[in-house]
Amino acid sequence: MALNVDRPCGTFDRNYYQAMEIFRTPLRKFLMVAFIVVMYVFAFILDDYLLSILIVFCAFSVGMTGLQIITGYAGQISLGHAAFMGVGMYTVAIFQEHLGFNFWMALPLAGLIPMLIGMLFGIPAVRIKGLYLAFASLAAHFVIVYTINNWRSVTNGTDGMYLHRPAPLLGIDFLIDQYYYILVLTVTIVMIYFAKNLTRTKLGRAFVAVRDNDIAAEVMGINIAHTKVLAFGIGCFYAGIAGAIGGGYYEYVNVEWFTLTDSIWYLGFLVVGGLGSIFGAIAGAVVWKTLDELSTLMTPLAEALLGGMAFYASAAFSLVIYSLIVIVVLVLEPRGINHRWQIIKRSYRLHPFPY
Amino acid sequence: MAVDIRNVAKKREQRYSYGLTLLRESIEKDRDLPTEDEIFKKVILKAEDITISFGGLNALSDVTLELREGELLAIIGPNGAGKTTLLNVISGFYRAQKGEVYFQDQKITHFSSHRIAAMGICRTFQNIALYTGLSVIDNIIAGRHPHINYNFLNGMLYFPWARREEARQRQIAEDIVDFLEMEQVRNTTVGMLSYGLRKRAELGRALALEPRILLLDEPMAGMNLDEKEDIARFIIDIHEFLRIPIVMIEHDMGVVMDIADRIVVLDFGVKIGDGLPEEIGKDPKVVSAYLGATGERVAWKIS
Repeated sequence: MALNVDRPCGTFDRNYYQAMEIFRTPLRKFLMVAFIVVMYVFAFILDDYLLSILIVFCAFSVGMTGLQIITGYAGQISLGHAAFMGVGMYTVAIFQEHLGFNFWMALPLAGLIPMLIGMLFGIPAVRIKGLYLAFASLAAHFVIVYTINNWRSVTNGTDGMYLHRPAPLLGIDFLIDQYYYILVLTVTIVMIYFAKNLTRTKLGRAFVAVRDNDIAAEVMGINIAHTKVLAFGIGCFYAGIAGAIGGGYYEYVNVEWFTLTDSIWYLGFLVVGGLGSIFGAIAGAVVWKTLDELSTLMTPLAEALLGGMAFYASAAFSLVIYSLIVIVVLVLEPRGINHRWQIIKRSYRLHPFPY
Repeated sequence: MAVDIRNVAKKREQRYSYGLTLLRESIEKDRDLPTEDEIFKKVILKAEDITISFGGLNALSDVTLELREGELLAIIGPNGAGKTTLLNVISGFYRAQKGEVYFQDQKITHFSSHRIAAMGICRTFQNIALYTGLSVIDNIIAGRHPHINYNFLNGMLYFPWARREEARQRQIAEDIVDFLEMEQVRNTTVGMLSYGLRKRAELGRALALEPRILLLDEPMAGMNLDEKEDIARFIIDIHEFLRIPIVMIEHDMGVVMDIADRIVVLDFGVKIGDGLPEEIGKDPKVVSAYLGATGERVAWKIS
């Protein structure tokens, strides 16, 4: 009989609160705190280039967590996730430029407006699923990009818009990258903690119920229409927040950043990370953006090897590598990095024995 | 020697005290359990003249079903007789083309499935329909969905009251796990369980919904004798301790004859029998539906 070995020998729950904890053993709690502290300390020891990578990691982790809620937990495919990230960025920019909001006031709106739009585009999910839903969600991407391109009086069209980082708070100047990184990291940790809470409470279980067996879920008292639309709403809320903190770093936003390719890579690297776990979402985002960075670094190398061809080569290079990674993971570990990580953790717990 | 009836009843309750007590407390908070007077008298569910056809196939024609308080009703019939269709109509999954379903004198024919479930009509499925990605305990807590009273924002922010509520729900779910004797596999994802245990987990999930009526679609299909006896014991315990009326579709005539209070027989979408087990066993129409021939023809075959 298959038993779950989800904690080391001798660790027992003494009450129901203990059974519900995210980190059950003192070691794991300590490691988590240590990890967060190290992430904060990075702000003071890394240079601006490495911090920029970490900021991108954070922003995309939040965005990927949103897609994880839609696709990994609730089982609904969304092919417009990058566009919702763009809506988040543009929301901050528009409210700052036209209505004079500051960053702090615009940040919740950057979540709520994509949330409303996401819920609107989530309505087809009530009736259709699978591949059909993927095509329906494609509409979200094109409608959003078209609107941003053509509503020039508000969005500046293809020229893009400027964002402003938050004004100095308590003597912390967010225009300095390392302080902005601390802000981004804090938002990321809070958002991921909320996502973790969501997935272990009422609505999270309803999401998985709808994913695994929507007919049974309906007959067991879960309103699936409500649940599916909420999944889209919450997922797009995350995408919007991700866009806002990412856009704040560049202090500029352009509609050309949110291509359909990005939306597809979002899904691809979600699978690489592992569907159905928050850790998988973060892993997927980190792998994606690491590859992004590596392929940029490879360009000078490609130039040395290929001479004048380098420009074309490097553009194709990243796509080829991404596709290869996704294919290899699909074949070798369809359940993603998360599953591999679970296996590693399990073998550590069982250490002297193989199983 | 005179037997003190109350004492026997008390001992009987103690027998169940290892499981379901919390669930019963939780049910009693919402409503009173049926009294002795109501049992077998008060009609709680009534499906009237249900007709439904799929294309040219008449799945059910003018079938009337009454379920009384505290009754264990078995529906039997050959394959394709419309038994599952009838349950699907009651639980709002199919819409009847003619006829109405009444639950506690309220017309529920056009209610959506999740609303009917939240009212207390809970069911299990013939083909196991668990949430395969969740563990047994999470499946059972997921079954308590309509009874968890905090909204998703409270869950997301994990406020102390949401945490307390979670713990309370988990406590009730653990109670059900204890009752179903699934303690060892409570944290295993149901996808990894054996068939018998999955059926049991599904029963647990239906129980978690605090059923007012329990609809069981072939709870013992594909099980060996031991497992069948276990499930029969669980069904009787649930029926007696929580006083829930149960509708059960089952093919095993031995079990049906032993535990059912009343039997309804369907054949080709028509109700051909309704009565006590003893009556049904002797009914020539029922016998012919099951044997597929008249007595004469059978006799000819044997000779």
